[in-house]
Amino acid sequence: MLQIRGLTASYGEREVLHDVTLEVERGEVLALAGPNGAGKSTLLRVVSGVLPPRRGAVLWEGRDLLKMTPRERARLVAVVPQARRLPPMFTVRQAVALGRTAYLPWLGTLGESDRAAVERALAQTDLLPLADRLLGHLSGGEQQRVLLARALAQETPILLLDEPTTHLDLKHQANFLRLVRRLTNERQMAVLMVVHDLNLASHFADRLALLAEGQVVRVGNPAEVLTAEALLRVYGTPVKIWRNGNGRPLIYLTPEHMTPEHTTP
Amino acid sequence: MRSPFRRAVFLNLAVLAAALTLSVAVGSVSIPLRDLVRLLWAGVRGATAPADVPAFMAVIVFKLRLPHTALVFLTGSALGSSGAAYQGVFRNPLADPYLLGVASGAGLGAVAAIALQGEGLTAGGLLIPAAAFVGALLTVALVYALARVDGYVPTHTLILAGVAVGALASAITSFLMLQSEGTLRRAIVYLLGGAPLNGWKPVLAVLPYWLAGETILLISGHPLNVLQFGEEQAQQLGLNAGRAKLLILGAASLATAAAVAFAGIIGFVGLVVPHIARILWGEDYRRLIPLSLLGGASVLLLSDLLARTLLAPQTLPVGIVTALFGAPFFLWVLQQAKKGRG
Repeated sequence: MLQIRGLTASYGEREVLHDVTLEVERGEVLALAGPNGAGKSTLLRVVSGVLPPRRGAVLWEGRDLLKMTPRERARLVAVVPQARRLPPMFTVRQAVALGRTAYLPWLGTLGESDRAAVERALAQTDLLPLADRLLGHLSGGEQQRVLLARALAQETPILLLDEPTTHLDLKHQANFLRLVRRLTNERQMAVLMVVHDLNLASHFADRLALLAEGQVVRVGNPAEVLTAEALLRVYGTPVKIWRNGNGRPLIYLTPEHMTPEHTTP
Repeated sequence: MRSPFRRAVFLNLAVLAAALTLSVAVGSVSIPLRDLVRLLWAGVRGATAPADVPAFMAVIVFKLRLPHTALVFLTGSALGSSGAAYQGVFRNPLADPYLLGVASGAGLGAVAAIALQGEGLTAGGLLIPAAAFVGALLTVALVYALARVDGYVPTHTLILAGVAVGALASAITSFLMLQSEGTLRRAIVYLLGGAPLNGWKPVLAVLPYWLAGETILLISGHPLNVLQFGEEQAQQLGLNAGRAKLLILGAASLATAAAVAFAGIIGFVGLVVPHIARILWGEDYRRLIPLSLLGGASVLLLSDLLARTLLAPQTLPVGIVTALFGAPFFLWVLQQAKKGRG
């Protein structure tokens, strides 16, 4: 189990996370939602070890991830960042092979097990037909899949995703999330995913944590967390919620919510 | 995947061999290829020169051309490979020892060493590359700190910082040279990338720096590949990104210092060569570094050949030749970068 305990982090003087405590089981997807600037991406940066927190710990089976070297940590935590500014001249296979860095010597020579892990990751993300293409020649959805494949090649029990579907169209969103879900089950990973779209979070996540101003406001299954009252408090705007009985509420704005009288109180 | 790289290495070695041969054979006195081969063969065996080859040819080959060629080889290869490494660390195709101001910083170090030592090549000979190294390191640290915005280094701030710091270093260098009377005259000549000092001494003085720098650069291809995704992702992939960057920048600065210490400030080789190599053979730094090393050596040897023969018997500073083909290339790259963004 991944345990995030009492994390407080800041950029300079500005505190961006305050006493965040969360847990994610193996085989479980926990979605992080909340308004812009709530600290969702910052939380991923802290858990992945690139932003040292002021206080708190991140434990995996009792060991503190933040006290490890980058190499040790990268064998436990993999990150799928947003596909931006990827080096255009790398081939897909090269990029995915970099997921093995934590297992490789300084020279980066791939061994048998590394090659096998790379091919497996390429196969699981349906990238084998594109393996020799250059990143610069791929669509946004394909690039995002490459980053997922790279994370899978790391063979970690923890997977962090930072708004992986933001730049994807509907079909690619659906495909990508289905893939993450399947792999979460197959590999029994603990998955922490920042999601901007509440309906995606509602339908895709096992549990959901709502963040606002660096704090966890609510955490639980989607039906518990996604209430009109909570969303009004966190986002500062009234929404309608449609509950169809499957435990995964649907959030929507009606035209009257967008007229001037109904803007932020 | 493996064989295109072998072909590229083979091609580069062939061009390099031709450039090396031309560099030794061609000059104010041309050495016939047949005599050259026999002289070199005799030299390798430690035998005396063949009787039918004029004695002055042996002097020219062993005392002048070979050390000159060796120094140009070290310089060109160091510029090419360190250019590739700087581009990799800064994630910017316009980084090179010259535009970063690192070459000027190394030049300032070298000239300061001469000013302190008085005599260029005797007691102070070993100090010159050391001082050039310190100058290069300080410059790269300063430029990096000035150009960095939110964890990455945009083209415009990089060039501005590089030009500004480089200009400052050049100004101080000029001041030092104007303050001195005799000893620094020579410094003026070689800082123009003109006639490098003669003989084997400068070659031996820079060799340790070249070897140390190139060894580290040649084995750092994989970390450079990881760094192409940015420092944060590199860290998340398991690389100690800060330490890797420091090591690679240190090695590139060693190589730059080796290049600048006795050959002066030569622009554009470190920019053009890695760029062409990247277009032809891709972005994998495990290949890009060795190919830029070989290509840089060939390009500088051929430029030096032009510099020596174009207006013979006058010798042009080689920096003029590299600027003549390098500056238009630089503008072209800038144009491409603009297109890439739009």
